Amino acid sequence: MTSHAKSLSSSRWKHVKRDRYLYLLLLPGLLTIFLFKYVPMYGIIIAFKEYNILLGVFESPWVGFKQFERLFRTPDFITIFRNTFLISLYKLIFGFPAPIILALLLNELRNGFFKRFTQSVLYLPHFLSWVIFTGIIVAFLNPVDGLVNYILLALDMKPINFMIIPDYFRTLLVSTHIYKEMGWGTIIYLAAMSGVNPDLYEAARVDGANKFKQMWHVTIPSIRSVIYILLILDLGGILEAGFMQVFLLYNPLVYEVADIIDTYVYRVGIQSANYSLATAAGLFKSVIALVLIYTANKIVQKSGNNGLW
Amino acid sequence: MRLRKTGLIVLTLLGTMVVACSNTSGDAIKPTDAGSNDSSVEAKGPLRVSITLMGGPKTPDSWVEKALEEDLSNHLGRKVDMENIFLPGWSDFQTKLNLMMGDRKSMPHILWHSGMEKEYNNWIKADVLVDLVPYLQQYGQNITNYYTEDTLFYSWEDGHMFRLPGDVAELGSMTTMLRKDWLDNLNLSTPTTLDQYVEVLRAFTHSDPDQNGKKDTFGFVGDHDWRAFAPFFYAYGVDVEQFIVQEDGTVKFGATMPQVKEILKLLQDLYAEGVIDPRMVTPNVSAGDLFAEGKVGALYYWVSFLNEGHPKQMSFKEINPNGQYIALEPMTGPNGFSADVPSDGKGWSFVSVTSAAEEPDAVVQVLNRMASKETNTLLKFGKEGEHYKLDNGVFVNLISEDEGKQLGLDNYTWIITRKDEANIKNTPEVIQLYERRVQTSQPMRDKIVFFKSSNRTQWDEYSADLMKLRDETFYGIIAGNLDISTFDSFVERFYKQGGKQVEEEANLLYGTQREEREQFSAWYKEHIEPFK
Repeated sequence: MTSHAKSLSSSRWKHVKRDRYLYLLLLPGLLTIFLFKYVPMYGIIIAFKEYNILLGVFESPWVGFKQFERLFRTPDFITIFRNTFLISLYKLIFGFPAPIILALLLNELRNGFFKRFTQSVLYLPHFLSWVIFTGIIVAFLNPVDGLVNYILLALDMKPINFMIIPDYFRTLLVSTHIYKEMGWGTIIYLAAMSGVNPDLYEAARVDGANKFKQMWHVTIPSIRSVIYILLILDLGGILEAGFMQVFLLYNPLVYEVADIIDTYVYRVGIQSANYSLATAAGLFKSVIALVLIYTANKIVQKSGNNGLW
Repeated sequence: MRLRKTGLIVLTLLGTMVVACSNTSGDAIKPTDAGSNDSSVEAKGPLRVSITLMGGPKTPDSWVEKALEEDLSNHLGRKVDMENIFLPGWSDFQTKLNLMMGDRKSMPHILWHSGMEKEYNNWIKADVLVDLVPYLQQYGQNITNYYTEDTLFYSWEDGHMFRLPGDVAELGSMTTMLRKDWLDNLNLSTPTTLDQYVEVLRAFTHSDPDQNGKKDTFGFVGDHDWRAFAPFFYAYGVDVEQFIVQEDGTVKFGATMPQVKEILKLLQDLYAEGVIDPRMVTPNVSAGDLFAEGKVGALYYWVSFLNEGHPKQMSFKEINPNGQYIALEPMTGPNGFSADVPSDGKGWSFVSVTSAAEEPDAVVQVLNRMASKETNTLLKFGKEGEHYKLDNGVFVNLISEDEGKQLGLDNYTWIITRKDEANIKNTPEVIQLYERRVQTSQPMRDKIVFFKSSNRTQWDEYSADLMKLRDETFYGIIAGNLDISTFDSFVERFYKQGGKQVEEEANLLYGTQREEREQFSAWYKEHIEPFK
């Protein structure tokens, strides 16, 4: 070991020793992640087995890629994959900029009480579970006595059964997702905006920049790295179309546009107790997510910004 | 000193995590005493019976447990100690049962199980379940008298019985219901044929049957499932969820039968006219709530809803004091066929006695006592005069729902739950109606094949996709999203996407099942009937 390496190692240990109580505080979190995220990962092997609950993970027979073949052979696989991808993509295109815009607007509020009150109201939907939230959506869109149809009737229009029309369904999914999560998504951007040096705004004002130009030329460039990191993370979830939301809102009349990999896995994998197939689908999604995260990270780094790692 | 302090903190943290990760719940399984010397029971010594329980409020150390122990002790002439093992929720109970059954020491004496056909077959192979036949012959009269020959067939394994049904739905538990007051308001007579029924539904939608001057009623509603449409499909002798025996003796999946097209067309027209409540085509509908609300004229629903004491019936009466639902005989179709929806009579949950029970004969006596009318009523409703009373045959609760839970009422539900007069919540009229529905559902029971075998590989492989195809096509047609001609392409796709294999398997199983049923019938006459 070279003397430089030795001194680096000893200085690291010095840091560890000095901050040992902080590391100790970190330990339960790390152990929890290890126990509940890494240890169960051995179960992934059942994607390559014909899992039998009585035989267990290790004793169940190997079947190679049979579960994946079965997944891809499903008659509706292309539809299911397309729905998953499109719903996620729409959520990303329309849902990703929404909290940034909202955070920019909130950042300009000067009345402290009004700002805090607005933020609290905006965060609220995030804390409602999808079960409750879909209940509210269904009640509002109910074709017989829902609020939206009352308004349509009052305007001499025909009531619409929104939940069963394929053309409306993805819009419904994306808009309700944005409504529920947009407020909560502003937190991280607002935190990043609070760290922007006020001198920059002052300099911009001296140069004659109005509010909009200050946002465009100061605020957004200052939070760009945060935007990139969150975009990379969101790209990783491109095949996470939101099981709970879709499962609670969809029905046979909109299967064609709403059936996603997760709902398929639920019907075939969980309800029919085919755990190996469910695991294979999960693994397939994870591999795609990994490739996307890696690629996006590389692109971000190539463009001269800080990536995730 | 510092090191010791640090070590102490680390140990405490690790200890906390280990404790958090280990199973220390109150219902942890205590090993049974099977095999240990100090628990060997004398002939008339105390009897300890461990039992897994899934239903009810799962109240530990409850009044009902003591009442059962007292009842059993009196009846068996020895002290009986029940050891309840409450199972976790629906997502975990099978895992827990598998773990318990993995080791003879942790097996319960009485095992409740449901939806575990594969595991059940493995338990039989592993020789951990007791063949109940000799004990039923000697001590099981309440059980063998209550369950029909048809029901017991599904628990018969080539001359042995390793399980008993824990809960079997009434053989005919649904009926056509109609608003009698609306019929009277519109001067209409009770329909008996499908055509008359459809005309009544139309009048209920368009002719202001509740006379409030508004067009705010629907003719027909039901839950989001196919049996809700039984008045239409059953009038043609079709069930789109079952395999139906054809005239040539073969078996065909009901959804592909040609009559279905005609019925779907009728339903499509009725939906377009506003006769069918549009909420019915999405899963968010609750027909029970709409029943109570009283803005719907007809539905095909549970007989039990006609009990005066049923919460939904009570809500209905509160909102519509002059309203009245009546049960009708099933509608007759164009070919003169009519039937109600039959249940398979197989049971959805089962009880077995494991080899951990040192005295299986005594355990069967316990089950037999629990299957008696008195004990069934005691376990479900408590003591007459103290917890309930019967007012001219109508059940009246003397305790609140919460008090009932504290007493542990229903803790032992699904351990041979009787649906006859032991269910005293049913009014005499409803009991009569149940009996009538057994008869009216028979024509369709004769047509439907209820499979005994759980080994249906083709069905397991293709059914999820096929059912999805059926649902999206049929609901699409009814709601008008799809043209009626889509039915023809549905049939084609059904057989292309695995329906052919599924139907071949069904025909094969039907053939073997018929032979097995005949063998069982002969066996039943010899081994069960003389001992009843």
